[in-house]
Amino acid sequence: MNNCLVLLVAIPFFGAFFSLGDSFRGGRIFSRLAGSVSLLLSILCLVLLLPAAGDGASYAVGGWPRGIGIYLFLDIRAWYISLLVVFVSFGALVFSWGEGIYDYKFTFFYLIMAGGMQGTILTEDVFNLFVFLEIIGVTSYVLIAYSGKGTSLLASYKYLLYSSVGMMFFLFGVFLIYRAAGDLSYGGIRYAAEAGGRTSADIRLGIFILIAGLGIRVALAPFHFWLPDAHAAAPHPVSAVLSGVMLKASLLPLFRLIDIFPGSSFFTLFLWAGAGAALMGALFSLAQRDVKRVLAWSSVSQMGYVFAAYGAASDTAPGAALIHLLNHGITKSLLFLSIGVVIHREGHKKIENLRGRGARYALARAAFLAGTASIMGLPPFGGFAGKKAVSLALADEAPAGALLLLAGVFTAAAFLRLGGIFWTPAPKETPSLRDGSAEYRTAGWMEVSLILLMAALGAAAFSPALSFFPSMEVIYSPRNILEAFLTAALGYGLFRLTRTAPGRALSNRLPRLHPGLNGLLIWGMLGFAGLVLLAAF
Amino acid sequence: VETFLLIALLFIVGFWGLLGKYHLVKKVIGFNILSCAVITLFIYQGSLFGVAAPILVSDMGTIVDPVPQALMLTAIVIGVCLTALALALVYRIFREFGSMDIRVIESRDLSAHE
Repeated sequence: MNNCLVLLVAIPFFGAFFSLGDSFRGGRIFSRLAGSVSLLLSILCLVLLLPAAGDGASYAVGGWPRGIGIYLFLDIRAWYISLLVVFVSFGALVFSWGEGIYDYKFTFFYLIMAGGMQGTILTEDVFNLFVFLEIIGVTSYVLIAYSGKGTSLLASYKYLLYSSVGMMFFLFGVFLIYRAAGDLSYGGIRYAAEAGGRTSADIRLGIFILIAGLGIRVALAPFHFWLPDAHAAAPHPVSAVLSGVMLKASLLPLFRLIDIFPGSSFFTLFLWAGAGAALMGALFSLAQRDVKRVLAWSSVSQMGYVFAAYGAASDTAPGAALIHLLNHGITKSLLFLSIGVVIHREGHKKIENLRGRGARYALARAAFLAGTASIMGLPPFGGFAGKKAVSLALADEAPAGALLLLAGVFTAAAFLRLGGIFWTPAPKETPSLRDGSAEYRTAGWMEVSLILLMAALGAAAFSPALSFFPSMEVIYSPRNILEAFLTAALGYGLFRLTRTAPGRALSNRLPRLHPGLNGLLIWGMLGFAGLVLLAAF
Repeated sequence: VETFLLIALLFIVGFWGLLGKYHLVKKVIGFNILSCAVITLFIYQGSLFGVAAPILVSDMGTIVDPVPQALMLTAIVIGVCLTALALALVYRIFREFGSMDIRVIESRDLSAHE
């Protein structure tokens, strides 16, 4: 049964090579078959693994003994994130069929990325983590630049350089850990760290430096400035995967590493960096004019919630972080895809050009409504459960909790603003750019993908009932429901404020603060210096 | 200790190339120097314990630590891939924007600030 673990990583890789068959024959049979079959087989593997995941399943690649061989490890937390990865990847792949502008090369890189994410989740040692992170890195650089437009190429180049430099810091962290612990598996590091004293301090420093690299991939503040450029420039299905699941897949190993030092300053760092990023991301998302940049900044904000919840280190914290992470993964990919339908068929990306244009796509409208309600934290959608679980975890950390509540108001305002795309009457005089084109014929797949993800969102509403969280009743209490609607109402007030003259002036100014490539590197360096300082005290 | 200082110097040179140079290709070279610094660091650390290459020897006492070498072999391969991809992107960016200067390109790419 545990053989399925290695299959989870291997199946998408095989699928990727199988999809290259189209290069000989033409057409798209091979890539579509390879894509769907390999992801569905991965789901089957996960179903088979569920009983074993409860106690933690591990697998030795090649049968080598511990200490020499490569190990894969799956616990229940990894199981859920792995399912999220497979499911959202599948949904977004179906969406890409509907867009009809991708060839087999897209499927090739896409499947390698999916396999890389599985590896990132399952790997049990830090160096394989490096390898898998670089696999998802390289494939995501290619996929971001896939459209070949100037903006996408530049975003990809910036992300490539910034994150590669980050990975060098990661390697430096690995070096310090190896020197101190003499072992690179999570278990070996934990064992060495428990010895305490000098070794433990060195490992702690190593992990701090490693976070300077991994923090880029998971958009931990202040390493998050690359994200809006890259996620907004990518094709829609890729944006959905990057924002929805790649951030989460890279997050799990980070959690596993800091779990080695319970109650350490890692958790304080997560709490405050997370709460700060939550507010800042929501504020900037309100000020963007490009629809996809709104969603991308909102991802920074929502990842902030996850960090803050985990950093609270209370009893419910890991469960709350996981629930919010899963719900955000589904919600954000649904939002990217539903907006993607409108952008793809109307040919605009700016909010003011898209006003009212979404109204004619009934299913995209329904999907967007569900996604918006979820991300604003309105019941009965999953986002509500996630946000309330996070605030429950933060019960003892009032200041950070207040920051998150404020971020909730900004998020509500930003998404009410996006609602103008779907809920204002369509402009009659200007026809859409792509009306009447042949693309409508293949468009059915987009709707299928939206339905798939909406079903997942519906299922996610029950996520607090999962084994790792106390109960549904605590979350769905009348007080929490009232609070959620109050937040939305405040958000509407804030949205009206941004329509006034000073509000407009401010939201015009904010996006100009966005750093370029050198700005990214300087922020990265500052963040690195901050982490080293934090390690010293 | 001198070796570590030299490696640190190499690292700083690489970072200076990334930050101080505005040419896209020079930034990629800066990254390469940076990664060389980290790779040298690993190899040097591994070489502190023994003298012989860890290939087909029966006497395990005299070999260097093979793990850092194996790790760095992987890291070098990944570095080459990244460099190749970065240079391909640079070429496409040059064709789109008609410049190699990141300042010029970022001012021509208005989407980020609109």
